[in-house]
Amino acid sequence: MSKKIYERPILRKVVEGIPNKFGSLKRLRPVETIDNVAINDIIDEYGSPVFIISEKTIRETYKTAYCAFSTRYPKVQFAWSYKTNYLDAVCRIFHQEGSWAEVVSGFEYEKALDNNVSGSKIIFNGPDKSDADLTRAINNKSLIHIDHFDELYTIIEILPKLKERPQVAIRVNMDTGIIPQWDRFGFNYENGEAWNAINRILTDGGIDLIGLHIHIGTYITMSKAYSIAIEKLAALANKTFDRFQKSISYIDVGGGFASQNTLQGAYMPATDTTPSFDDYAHAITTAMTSVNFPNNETPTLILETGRALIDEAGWLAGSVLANKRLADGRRAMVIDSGINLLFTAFWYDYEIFPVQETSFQSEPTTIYGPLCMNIDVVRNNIDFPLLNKGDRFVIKRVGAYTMTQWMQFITYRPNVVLIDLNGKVHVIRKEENKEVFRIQELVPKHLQNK
Amino acid sequence: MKNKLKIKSALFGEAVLTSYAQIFFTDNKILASILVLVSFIDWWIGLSGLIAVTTAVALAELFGYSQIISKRGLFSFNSLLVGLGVGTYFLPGLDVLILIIVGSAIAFFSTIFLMGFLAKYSLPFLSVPFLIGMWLMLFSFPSFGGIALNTEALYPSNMFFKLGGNTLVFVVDFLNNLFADTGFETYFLSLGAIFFQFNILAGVLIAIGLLIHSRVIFLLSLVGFFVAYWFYSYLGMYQGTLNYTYYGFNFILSAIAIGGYFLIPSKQSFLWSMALVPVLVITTVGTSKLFGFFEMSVFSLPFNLVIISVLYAFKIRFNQTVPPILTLVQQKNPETNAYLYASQPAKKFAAFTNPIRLPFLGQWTVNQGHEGFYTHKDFFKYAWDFVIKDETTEKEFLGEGLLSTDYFCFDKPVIAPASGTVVAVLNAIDDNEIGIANTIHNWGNTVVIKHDLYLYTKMCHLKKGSVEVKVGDIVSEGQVIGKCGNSGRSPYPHLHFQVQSSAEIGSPTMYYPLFEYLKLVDSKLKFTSKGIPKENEILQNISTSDILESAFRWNPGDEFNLTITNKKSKERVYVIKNVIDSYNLSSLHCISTGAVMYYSNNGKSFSALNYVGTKKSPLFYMYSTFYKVIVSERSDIIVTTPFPVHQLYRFPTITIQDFLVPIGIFLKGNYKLTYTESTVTFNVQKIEMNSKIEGYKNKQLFNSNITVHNNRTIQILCTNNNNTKIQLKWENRLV
Repeated sequence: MSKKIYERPILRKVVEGIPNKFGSLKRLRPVETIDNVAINDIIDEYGSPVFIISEKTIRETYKTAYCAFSTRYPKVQFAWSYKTNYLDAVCRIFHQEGSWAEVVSGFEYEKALDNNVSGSKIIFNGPDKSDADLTRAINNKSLIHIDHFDELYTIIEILPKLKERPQVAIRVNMDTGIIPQWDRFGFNYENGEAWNAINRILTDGGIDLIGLHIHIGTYITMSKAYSIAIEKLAALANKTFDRFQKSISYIDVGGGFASQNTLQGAYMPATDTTPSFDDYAHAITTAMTSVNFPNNETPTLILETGRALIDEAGWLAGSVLANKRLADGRRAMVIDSGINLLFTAFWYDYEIFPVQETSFQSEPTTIYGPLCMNIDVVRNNIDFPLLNKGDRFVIKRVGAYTMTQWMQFITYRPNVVLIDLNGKVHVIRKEENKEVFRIQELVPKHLQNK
Repeated sequence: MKNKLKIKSALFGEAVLTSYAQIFFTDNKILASILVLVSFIDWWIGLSGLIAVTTAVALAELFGYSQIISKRGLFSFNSLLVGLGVGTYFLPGLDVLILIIVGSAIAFFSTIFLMGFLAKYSLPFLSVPFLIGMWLMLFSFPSFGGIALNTEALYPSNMFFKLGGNTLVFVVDFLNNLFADTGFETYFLSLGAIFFQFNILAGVLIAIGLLIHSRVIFLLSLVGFFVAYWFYSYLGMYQGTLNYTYYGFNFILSAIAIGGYFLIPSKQSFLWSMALVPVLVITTVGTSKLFGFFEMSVFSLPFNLVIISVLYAFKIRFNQTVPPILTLVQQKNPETNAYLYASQPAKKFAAFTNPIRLPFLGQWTVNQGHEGFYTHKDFFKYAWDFVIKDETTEKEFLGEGLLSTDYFCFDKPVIAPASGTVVAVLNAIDDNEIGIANTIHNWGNTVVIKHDLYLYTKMCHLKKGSVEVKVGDIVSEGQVIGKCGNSGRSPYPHLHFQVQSSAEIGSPTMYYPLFEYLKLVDSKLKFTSKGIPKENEILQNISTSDILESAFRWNPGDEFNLTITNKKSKERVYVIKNVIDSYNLSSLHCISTGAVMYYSNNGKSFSALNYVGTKKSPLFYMYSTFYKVIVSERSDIIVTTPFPVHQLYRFPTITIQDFLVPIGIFLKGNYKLTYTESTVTFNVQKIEMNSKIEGYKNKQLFNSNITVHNNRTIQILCTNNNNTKIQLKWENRLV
């Protein structure tokens, strides 16, 4: 018989719930393994904290998403949104599954090329594209999604120097009944900017307009919104065909599919409310198939889903640094991963689990990160079991935006490991050390005295 | 007027000539000419035949019957036989001339009647009309006082002397001595007897004609005859009876009909032609005894009786994909039939020509195939059930699978597998809870689509209220007709799909392959041209490439410039015309050389069906290059099919192969088409492909690098087996 787990004394108010003869039991089950690999072993070998990514989950999620769309619509293409997670290993898994790349900067564009994505399978989005970026992308036959007139003018300006004809799409924003309207990106439909942009592009003669791009917002599953959006795009496509005899080859509906992380302030947990890929696919493909595109053609449907594809596959494992009691009597726990690694903790209520078996008791707890900053809060209020210093925890669904938005603040960024399909663990990004920063820094001569 | 006369006389000439060859089931002109010659060994017999056949052709014209059929001699060859027969029996005279015309007319009208009657069963009328005409003539003869019997043919030496003097008599005597008392004497006599020429010279000439026309037919004539000859002696009958009854030709014609004409020549067809000989012998002996009471010859009665009944038996077989295979389209001779049949990617499904494709989008798994374990039994054994499975977990549902909505396939679009008309719809049956099957409304919500006569498809267990079409709607391939559901006898969501021959919901299934799909094998997609998907196979339809589709979409009347350039000669331009005939068969005609390439394009695959004419036309390169093209958008598929060997090899290699057809086709020609991945996905300017034909031990016989441009021009760089490089350019003249 093993030794009983030590339980420090606590104060606890009676919480609501229907008691039975065992009392009102609410217990967080520990998460001990990821893909059958013990988390403790990973922390022992790769340090604490450590990001863990499951290749199996990535591939399964991708296949589910692809199946949801491809069994509803004949031509479907996913493009991996680099900004969500641009670790090379992660990107390459998506590319192996057939995903293209969607990038929003010269840096991401370079990463995509380094990941052996052929230029014609890179979608270049976003408002920030330098002349050099545009020149390179156009010469690589990449798809340029024009965001504003100044970008269009730049392209027209550099046209004579280009080796290839630019293959462009325009991003369109419109009123679909969704509030807030995302009108900061692209050309507005209602005020005629989008039609104006199309005219500018096609009258020039040197540019091929091949796609239309919208992004009506996140968390939208109302078919109505998609059908309004796609109806308007089809109208635009038809108008374009009537005037220029050019048909649109693809419709990019962007991404914005929610993951199962619960947003702060949400009444219900996201696992119960988040729409599935099937819900999105149904809404979008129903809209796509109910409108008539010019020339009876079926444009390819491009999806730039990021978050919903990767969030589930990422985990952050770490250790407890300390426990304390706050002024108002609330319990607080300090852990070794803060908002430097989880910027997203500002808007998500992350699910945190102990890694080992704990006692049956739990207490409302505030979980703080290790930073010397008041805002470093990972969970404001969670009913959490009583962990001790050195005990380990794991945070679920941290695959999206964490490993791109993290900061080197106060301390180094940790190892990122990938569990492959055979359960083998690989480091895919090494933990930082002082050399990483020393290389970047230059000390002027007058400060170099010893 | 003059022109009209010219066309008419050309028609008459061709119809009369091919009537002679048609007796051996062909319209080969060389054989026909030899046969005309043979019939004129006795001028009166020859003339009788000619008058009879002309009469029949004239009657067909008078009645305005199809000139195409007339040109093939089908209306008139029975009259020809009657004419030859009457000429043999009666001496020349004006009265006999009238008899010939009457006999010819009898045979002609019998032909028309039997043709109409037997066509319903797609059976041939063979020489039954001749039997009717000839017997009527002979039965009525004793009543005519003024007509004398022809004895000329009884004294062949006199006849040959008149015809060719001493030399010919000498030649015939030499032949007689050479084959005397051997089976060959009887064989040649029997061959000659088909044309009422009871002498060896006629037989030898006909045999040479057969050999020139077709090695397989020549071989079959020998096989049929000698097996019978042996069987006579085996049963203890005097083989010499064959010498004066002349019934030997029954065995020859039967062997040709079964072994090479109505069936694709193969091991099986040869075995069948031999196996039928005993039946024929008994029929011959029995019927001739019977007809003996009337002092009448049975002529070709045994052949007609046995072949028509055996063919009927073959034609009503339920499964037509096992050999022997019935010949669907008659080419110039049986070996060509065999070569063209063997050079199809899914040859056993050759008889299925209307494309039916998968009724869904994306990748689905066959959950129950033909003769399945659960419900695909008896009348309903040729059906498929499809579901969507998660590739990694192999599960059909998310979560616990206790709700219909947990299932991946539930609520997914179901599409029309081919274009057609909706003939039955059910849309109001509730979807079941998981695990419960509705056995009252067995098929659940259903759509039945009619694609052609006796060709319907049925999609069942659709979601309640999801059916988007109504009876009478015309649907195009790929159009969404409803959503996969869980209604009817369906304990969990799945799509039931079947091909059937009638419009009712609940009709029995029909064996029918599915066309042009991709099958996931070891996470690679494999192309299948026609096939019966099996349980657990993961399938998807192919998506078409706009560029390829439009490059191969040719309108009737389109004219193309085919420009050929090679190192030695200057650029030459050939004009190619696209033609569609009244049978809806498409072909390209090279105007200057007369070469014709037949092709079909079913929307997803372009197939070169046949090439007729000189290989000097650059059209032959088109034929070799585009023997089979899938207008696929994917570049990772490979199209492979055997290439017809008679287009690849020359005399004497191909002649040896001709003789070996009954054993197998040993010459190799493997056609392979691969695609180069395009650098861009959208706004594609050109598609590059490579086709090659490989012979024995992968020796490259032909290689083509193809570039298809989006303005529908095609450029081909061919390399022959002698390493000469030829450049071709294909462009529409009218554009």
